[in-house]
Order: sequence, then C-alpha cells, then structure tokens
Amino acid sequence: MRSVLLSDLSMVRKNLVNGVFITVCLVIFFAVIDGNVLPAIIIGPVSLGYVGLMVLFSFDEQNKWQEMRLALPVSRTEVVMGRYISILLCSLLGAVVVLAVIAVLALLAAVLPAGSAMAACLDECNPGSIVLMIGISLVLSLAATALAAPVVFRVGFTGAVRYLPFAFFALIAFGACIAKLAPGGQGAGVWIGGLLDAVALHLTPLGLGFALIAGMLAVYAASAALSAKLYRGRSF
Amino acid sequence: MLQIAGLRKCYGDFSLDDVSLQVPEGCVVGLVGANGAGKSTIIKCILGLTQPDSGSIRLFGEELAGMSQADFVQARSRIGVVFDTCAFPDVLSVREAARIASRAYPAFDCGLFDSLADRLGVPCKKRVKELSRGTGMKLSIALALAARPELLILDEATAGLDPLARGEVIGLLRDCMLQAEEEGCGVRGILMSSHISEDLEKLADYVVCLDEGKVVFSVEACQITDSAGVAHCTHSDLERVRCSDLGQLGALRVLQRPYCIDVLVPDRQAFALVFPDIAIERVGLDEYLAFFLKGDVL
Repeated sequence: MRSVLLSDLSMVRKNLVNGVFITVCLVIFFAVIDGNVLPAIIIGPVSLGYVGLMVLFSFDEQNKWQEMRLALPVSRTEVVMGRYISILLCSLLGAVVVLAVIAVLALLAAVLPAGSAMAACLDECNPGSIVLMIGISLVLSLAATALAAPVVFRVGFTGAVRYLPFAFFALIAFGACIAKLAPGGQGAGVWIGGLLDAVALHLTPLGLGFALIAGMLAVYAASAALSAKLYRGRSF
Repeated sequence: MLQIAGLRKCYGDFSLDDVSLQVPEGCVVGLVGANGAGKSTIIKCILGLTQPDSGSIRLFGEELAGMSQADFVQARSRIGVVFDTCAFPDVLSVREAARIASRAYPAFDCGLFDSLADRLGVPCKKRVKELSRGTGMKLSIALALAARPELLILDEATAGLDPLARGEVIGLLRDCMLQAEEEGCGVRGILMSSHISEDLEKLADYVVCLDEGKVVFSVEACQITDSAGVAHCTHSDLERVRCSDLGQLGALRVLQRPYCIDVLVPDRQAFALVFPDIAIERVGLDEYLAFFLKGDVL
C-alpha cells in the first residue's frame, strides 16, 4: 500500500502544485465577484479532486505503467485502495487550501478599514456554513470519483470513459443553471433548498456538513470495494 | 523455478495453444518468435495480468491457479520484471522510481541499485522523461536487479539498446547468474523474450520458439550453436540426402534459396562425414528460426 500511495502522490505532485495555485486564484476571484466567499469554497475540493482523478488515471495508460505496477509485489486491492485514498487526499488538500484562503482573507479584513470588500465577502462566514460548503464540495468531488472509478478500473481510462468525470460535473453545473434560469422555475434550487431546510430542522449547518461528509465517505468506500472486485477480474 | 504446461488463452482471433515450457534453476530460457506469436501473452499469464483459459503455471513449485492474493504477491516479490519500455511514469525522477520499487520489494537493495545505476550510466538526478529510450531500459533493468529477484522476466528488454549497451546488459545478466551460482542466492533463472537472436545466442541455455501461439521447437541452445548446421545443396545433393539414412529420419528441414537449397541438419559433423563434398557450416539462431518458420520438412 505504501508503494502505491507513494507512486500516486509522486505522480500527481506537480499537477497539484499548479492546481493549488489556480484554486487560490479562482476562490479569490469568485469571492470578490460574488461578494461572498462561501460559494467559492466548492472550487477547492472539486478542482483538486478532479486533478487527482484525471492525472492518476491518465498515467496508468502511459508506457505500460499499469501492467508494471501490477507486476510489482502489490495486490490489485491495494492498487484500488491506494488510488481512492490518493484522490481523497487531493480533495482534502482542496479543502485545506480554501480554509487557508479564508483565513488569509479574514486576516486582511481585520487590518483593512471596516466595510471593505474583503470584509464584506466574509459576512456570511461562520464555522457551520464553512463546514457545510466543504461537505457539499467533498460530496461533489468524491461522487465523481465514486461514479467514474469502477468503470475506469474495469475498462481502462480510454475513449468515452475519459469524459465521465467531466460529464458528471457538467451535468451538475447545467442542472443548476437550468434550475435557476428556467422561466418561473427555481424548481431544483427550491427543492434542494427545501430538502436542506428540512434536514436543518434536525441538524445544525455544522452537523449537516459532517453528515454529508460521513454519508459520502460511506458511498466512497462502497465504490472502492466495487472497483476492487472489478479490477481483480480485469485482463491486460 | 517456473513450469508452464498446456497453457491456452484465446483473444478474439489469436489463441495461445497448448504451450508448455519451463525455466529450470540456474538456466536462461529464451523465448523467440515473430510479433504476435504469443510471447508477451505467456509473460502476462505468468504475472497474473491475464487469466489463462486452461493449463497450469507453477511458480517456485506453487500452482498459480487457486493461489491467494497474498501468496501471489509474495511470489511476485521474488520476480523481477522488465517490459519493452521503461514503464515508470515520466514525471518521476530516477530516485523516486527507485523509492517506489524499494517500498514494493522487501529485498530491494538501494546500495545495489546505486552501483548498478552507476555501472550502466543511469543518472539518478534526472527525471524518467529526460532519459533516452536506452537509458530508460537500463533503469528498468537496474531496478529489477536491485530487487534481488530469484526469477527475472525480460520482455524485449534489450530492444531499445544500442549494440554496446546490449553487450553491457547481457554481461551484467551473465554476472548476476554466475554470482547467484556461487553465493546460492540472487537471480537463479531468467525467462527472456527477444527478437535479437544475438543476445539469446550469448545468454540462453534453452530456446523456445513460438509461432501463432504454438511452440514450434524447444531446444538447448548448444544444440543449435554447437551441433546443428546448414548444408548448401544442389538438387542432386538434396536427392542423395533424401535417400540417405539422415533423410529417412524425417528430421531435416529445407529452405529454398536463389542458387541452392539449404538443409538444416541436427548434427553437422555427422553430416560432414557422410557427405564430405557438400558444403556445411554453423547455423545461427535467426537462420535456425527461418527453417522452422518458413521452411519445409524434407
């Protein structure tokens, strides 16, 4: 397992460094444009999780690396588990990056004059709302992996399979746009909002955030088990 | 160390048909054949990269089918593998590739890797993508040997090397085998698939030839280099050979040439005694293969 994690993290390191830089820029940009940093939190785990997913599976198809790794004394289950853990770590790094950005913005807001744009974009920030947004972001990021990885481990990261994670995020984005822009229809938004409100009757935003993360981790673990089973039956 | 018996595997229009071979302890077995003959499929079956349809593969005396995942991982820790390209991701540095291999192989010897990298001229500070194809292959060979495997599986491992480097690698492999023989540990067997007959002539103890998924011949290398010969015959010479005891055995193979007919004979000295007037010479592995893959039985 250590060998698998080491190889995955070594491979993705350079792309993650670039990804962190782009994430920081995007979070600040959208926070300033929107006047609220909370929606921008989603960018962190989603973008770095996506980087991890795409980069790691792409390397598998290069120069027989996948065959070479399976020729090493490493079990297929370890390869799958290592990959899921690596992508989870990438997503968590995204969460850490946005938290760091929020911390820096908060420090800047404290030293800047009251009522500045910097302070305004942090108005709605509180621990509960931050954890909730990180929870939603991790759900999106890990759901893309949970959905795509079993298919990739079964058939390889080739052809149409390469577009599966992108298609997932595109579907979410277009769905949100349609829900917001359709005439008289904030249907999906209202429905999701209603659902969150209903859950919020029993849970605080903080609790809801942790519940989302815990639920997604359970789905993620189930997806990893399915991938391991599919990968064990794959021929090269 | 490795025994394969009755191995079958079908892939669409290709099938590996009843392949049997073995790598005895202390021996180098060369696997030859045209592209698509099934050499890599055999190697994939041994490494568990693909499941054979039937047949038996025994690794270090243990049957592969039915082996638990943990036992198979344990068995693979005793095998060093080199594919036809440097398979390590190109963003890694040589040092990182070595670190990954050292985490995977319990017996990996970092000091040995450093000395092998030094001997083969692999720069440890460079990234894999900065290495030439030949240096990348040398890196793969150094990593495989530093894992201190008992069985080494090379799939066209010398294909990207220039003649000098090939000689260097073949020398290194021979040294490893000799060292293992003296010390009783280390590389005790090599299965080597290659298109380069010169490498096999220098190193192999046995040669197994595959064609369209079937074993065409499996012989001791010395039978080819020391005993066999090619006789350059005219049509009348060929008739005399056909009528002789040698021809009656049905073991002779012929290959039509522009100005003569070449006959492959299993014992060139015996042939020369019977037909002193027919020119006969030593046969190379390439020519030997040509008799089996393109020639006819006399």
